[in-house]
Amino acid sequence: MNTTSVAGRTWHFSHALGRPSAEHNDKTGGYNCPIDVAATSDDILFVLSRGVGVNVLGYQRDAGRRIGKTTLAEEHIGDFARTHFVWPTGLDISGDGNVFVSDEHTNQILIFPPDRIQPYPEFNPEGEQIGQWGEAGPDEGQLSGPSGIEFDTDGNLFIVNSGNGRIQKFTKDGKFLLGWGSTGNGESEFSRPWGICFDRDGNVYVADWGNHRVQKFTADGKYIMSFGTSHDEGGDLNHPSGVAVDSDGDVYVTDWGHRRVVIFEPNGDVITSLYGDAQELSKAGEYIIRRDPGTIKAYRQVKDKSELGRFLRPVGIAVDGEDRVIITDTAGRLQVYAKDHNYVEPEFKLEIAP
Amino acid sequence: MSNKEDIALMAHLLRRAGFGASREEIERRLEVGYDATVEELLHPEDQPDTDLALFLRYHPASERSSALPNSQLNWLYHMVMTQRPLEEKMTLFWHHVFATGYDKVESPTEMLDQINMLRESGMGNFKELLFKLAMNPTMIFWLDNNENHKRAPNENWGRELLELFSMGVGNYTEDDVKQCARAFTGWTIGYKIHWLLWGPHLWPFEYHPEDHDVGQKDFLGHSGNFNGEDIIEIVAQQPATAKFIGRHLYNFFIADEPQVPAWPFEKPKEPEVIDILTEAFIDSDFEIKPVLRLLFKSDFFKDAAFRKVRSPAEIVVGALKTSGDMHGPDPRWSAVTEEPTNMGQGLMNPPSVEGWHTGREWINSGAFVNRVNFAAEKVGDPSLPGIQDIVRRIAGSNGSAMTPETLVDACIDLLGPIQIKPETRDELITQVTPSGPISWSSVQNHGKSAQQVGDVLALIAGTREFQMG
Repeated sequence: MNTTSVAGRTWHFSHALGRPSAEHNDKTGGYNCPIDVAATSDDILFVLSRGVGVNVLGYQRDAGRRIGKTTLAEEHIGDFARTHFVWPTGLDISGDGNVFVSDEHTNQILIFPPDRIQPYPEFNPEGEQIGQWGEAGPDEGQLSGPSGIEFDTDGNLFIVNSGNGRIQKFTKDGKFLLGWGSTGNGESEFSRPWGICFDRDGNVYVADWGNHRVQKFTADGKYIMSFGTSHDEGGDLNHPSGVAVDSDGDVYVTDWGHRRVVIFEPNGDVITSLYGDAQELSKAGEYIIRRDPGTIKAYRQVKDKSELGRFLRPVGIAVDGEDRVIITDTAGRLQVYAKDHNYVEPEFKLEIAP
Repeated sequence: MSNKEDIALMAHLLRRAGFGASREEIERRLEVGYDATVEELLHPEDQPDTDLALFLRYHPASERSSALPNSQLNWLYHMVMTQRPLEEKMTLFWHHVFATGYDKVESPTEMLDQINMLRESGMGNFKELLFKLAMNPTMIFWLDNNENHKRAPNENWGRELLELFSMGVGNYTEDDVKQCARAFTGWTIGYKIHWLLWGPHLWPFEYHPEDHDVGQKDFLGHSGNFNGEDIIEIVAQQPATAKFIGRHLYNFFIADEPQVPAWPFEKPKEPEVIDILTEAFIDSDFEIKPVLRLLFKSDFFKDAAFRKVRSPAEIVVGALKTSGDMHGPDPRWSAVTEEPTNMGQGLMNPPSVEGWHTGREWINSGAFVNRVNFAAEKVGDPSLPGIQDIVRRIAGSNGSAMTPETLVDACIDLLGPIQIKPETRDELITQVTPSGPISWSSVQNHGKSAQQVGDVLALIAGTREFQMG
């Protein structure tokens, strides 16, 4: 077991999910540049793929952009929403269970029911989508490159406008409530911001991608602090993309440029970093081994798998109710870490003979 | 104010040492001067690199992919967006010379990694470049050096190193090929892991000393216990190598030569020019920049405008740069990436180790239609910023009305200037005349006239002369 134990906290690498996959290979679940993920209380994951459709002879309407539904234990349920996106970026689940997705090219929020799985290749996208809203533009209440999205505990949707550096709050039906921010590098200013999340006090964290930092605000947009710009103890961020907070208030940032996840104290002090530990294959990877014996030879040739377990580009991140951390990697898989609240460091006693 | 000859010469330099430029860039560089521009092109490290983070944020599939178009997109984006045009042009040059193809490699990630290596090392020292090439996992797999063992040599890499990458046919013996192959035994790749398992990963180079033939080799008149580095040192010192690379440089930067397989039998068009390049290559101890400096400042280069058929990559990137379209991340890149392939130049997938056949062989009926359609669509669109600039220049310099002759001449000038035959000019004027004079006297006229300018530019894109560069 790969364990990272620092400052009284411990994270165990749990397992990987999925593999890079075009739609037509999707027997056991796969992802095409997974860019965001959301977890439900009953261990269901919704994974948003931002890949490119593949024109493969004999495979019609192969979808690189889609939503995958799986259990945390990697029992793949299926895919949907294959033909609706240009640049899907953020995903979250509303209180009534619907899946909301931002498209940063079309400046739209699209809404899908969570259970309308469409088997490949017979799928029919007609009627699959149950809602859509958003008006493109730079003004208050308009969308400009919507990227990260997150529902607060009141059921309102926060949207990060990457195009003009604004954070805006809407009802789930799209009514504008409040907003703040502009383009720049000062307090409450952003450069192509991306991911967003809340802590249990309702404070808002935004991954300020182009300014290499995370900014923290009150729920109504009052600036509190920034972190991630310190070079001390590995706390310098390079194009952070996603952010999530666990039940203890520890903050997880997908450090896209450095290919790692940095964990911060609520006050911005660095705790540690995770670099990816998926050396063992996911169930989807094992399926490939079973299906194609030729890959076994290649698999066995790899003596040191540590490099293969690393993140390529960690992007989306979610923490579920049991503080399991789920990270999407554009390499085509997810990695899951579990936080252990009761972990005790093994003690090694030196027995000295009398 | 620069005269027409200065503008034409700077445009020629930027077409050959890059992928073309807008009139605004040409004028800006003329303020600096021709020689200073050559120096700037020769020092890409002084210019900002392409913002790869911005590109990959919006095109994440183009970093490590299992689909070739995603890697092709990565390179095409560099060609359009680069502020280091000669660095990118030299990357394409070496891809022509050291042709490696996806059809066998089957890893777009590895193909892109080789292109990145060529970009990083393509303007340095030729010996060092050959050394990196010999250790490049993509090349090792492409030419089977991972199957080149002490007790079972495979001569593929050794043969092509001499035949196509350095000296050329007729300058070595079959035994030299065998000895060369022996020296590279044990140069291999660690593993070639399937991308479906962990996602696309780079293959590692490994040297296996236990699989290396340590015996004496007799190679090109030298004897010793040679390893691969020694072979590259000997190969690089051969006058035939300098001459071979010199002819490639001539073919790529000056004028179309016969196809490479014909070189042992057909003399160069200008052997004295290739001799000059060969001598410069040897004098510089195989540094590439001094040869390029000499080339771009020479009269034989300056006199060589429009003596080459533009490659598909040059047509596509040139049209995008002229029109100012696709200037940054854009969902339409996926479709644009298919264009060079549709015109006969699938980047990272040349037809064989000989590379693409160039010159007139770029043109066949299907490819020609695709070249014209793509270029005409871009330069004929007055909503694009580069074409808007051309319209502004034409509207601003010709009073309230223009004859068809004036309009055609202005468009020929601002699209190049292109060297166009009198009969082609006459034909263009004939095509334009039914529309009558165009006027810039009112806002209503302006929109109609802008479209007329676009229509003339699109007509020019369909001429034979537009295919030359």
